[in-house]
Amino acid sequence: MEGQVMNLQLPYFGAALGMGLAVIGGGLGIGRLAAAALDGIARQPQAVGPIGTNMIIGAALIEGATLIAVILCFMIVLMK
Amino acid sequence: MRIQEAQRAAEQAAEHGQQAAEHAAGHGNDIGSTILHHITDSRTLDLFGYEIPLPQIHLGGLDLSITKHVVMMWTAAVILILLFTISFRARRLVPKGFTNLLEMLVVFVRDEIAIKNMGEHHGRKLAPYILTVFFFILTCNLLGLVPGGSTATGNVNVTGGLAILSFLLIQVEGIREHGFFGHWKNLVPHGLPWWVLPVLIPVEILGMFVKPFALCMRLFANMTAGHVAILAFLGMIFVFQSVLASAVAVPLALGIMLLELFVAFLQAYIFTFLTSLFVGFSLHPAH
Repeated sequence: MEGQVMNLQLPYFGAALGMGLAVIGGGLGIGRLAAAALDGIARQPQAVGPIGTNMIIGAALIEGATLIAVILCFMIVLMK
Repeated sequence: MRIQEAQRAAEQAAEHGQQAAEHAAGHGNDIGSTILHHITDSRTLDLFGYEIPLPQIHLGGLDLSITKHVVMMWTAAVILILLFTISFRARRLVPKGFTNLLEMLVVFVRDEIAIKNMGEHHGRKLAPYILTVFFFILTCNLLGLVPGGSTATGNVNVTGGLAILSFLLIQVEGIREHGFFGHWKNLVPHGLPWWVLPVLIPVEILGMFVKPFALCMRLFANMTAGHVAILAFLGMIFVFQSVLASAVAVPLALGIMLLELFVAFLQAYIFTFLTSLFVGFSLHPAH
């Protein structure tokens, strides 16, 4: 039974699936963030400076969580 | 006699099976281990096909050997020292040529990163540290794209060290501005109802450590991921064993390489930006 599970390469499957899910989450998050920031800039073009700064902070936080998930997936592959 | 023969035959069969399995797994593992070899630290310096062994130092149980990434960090430091001393040796009011580019970057980092997030007074005071970290990360990132070089910032220990420095800067500047107890009181916003505190204080203490951890992981992951992508695209040529694969793989790798050039600047910006932002939070807490 154990041999069969290893032959199916389930750890790789799990890591790939996890990577994809993490990227979907991060992409949706940053996409919504950029959309909202562009909306704000379009309404109030003079606020481009502060909006851009706050957008970078939010993007960095979302990206950080996504990248930690992706690294954990990568470590599953390495330590399989 | 017959038992011995049977045993030997079984051993031989097992050996054959193992060899066959290793051979079958060989292709996939080969690319994987080549990629890993390129992104991980090693005790030899690979320079255009030559493997230069580096000195190994063991001091009282501590392994203080010089490794590939240590050499790359030293290279970055030497490049920066030489670049800035030579460029700014002739002091002019209006710089010329390459010095102009450097001055543009320095002024950008000072005004848009340090002063913007930490205020005029602290921004000017801490600008030298922020500038040092910015140019060090930028040079380390760019050295990873040069033939014969490797990315020191793609090593979690290097980024961890930089993140620990950021953590210390955040705490020390907060303590220097508000006093030891005042700094810890600023951990939570003032004027909250008391029953929120048991929930908020652990969360804020956790956040104190999560910020530098995220800084460390962001830089490490960004630099590693780009190099893995480049090598994976180039590895397609060897996986498919065909010249036609290079027609697809090389343009894709070139595209990722150009993206990496942008990411090298972006990550240096993000790291210093977030460091000065967190120092700014610690200096001017929300009331």
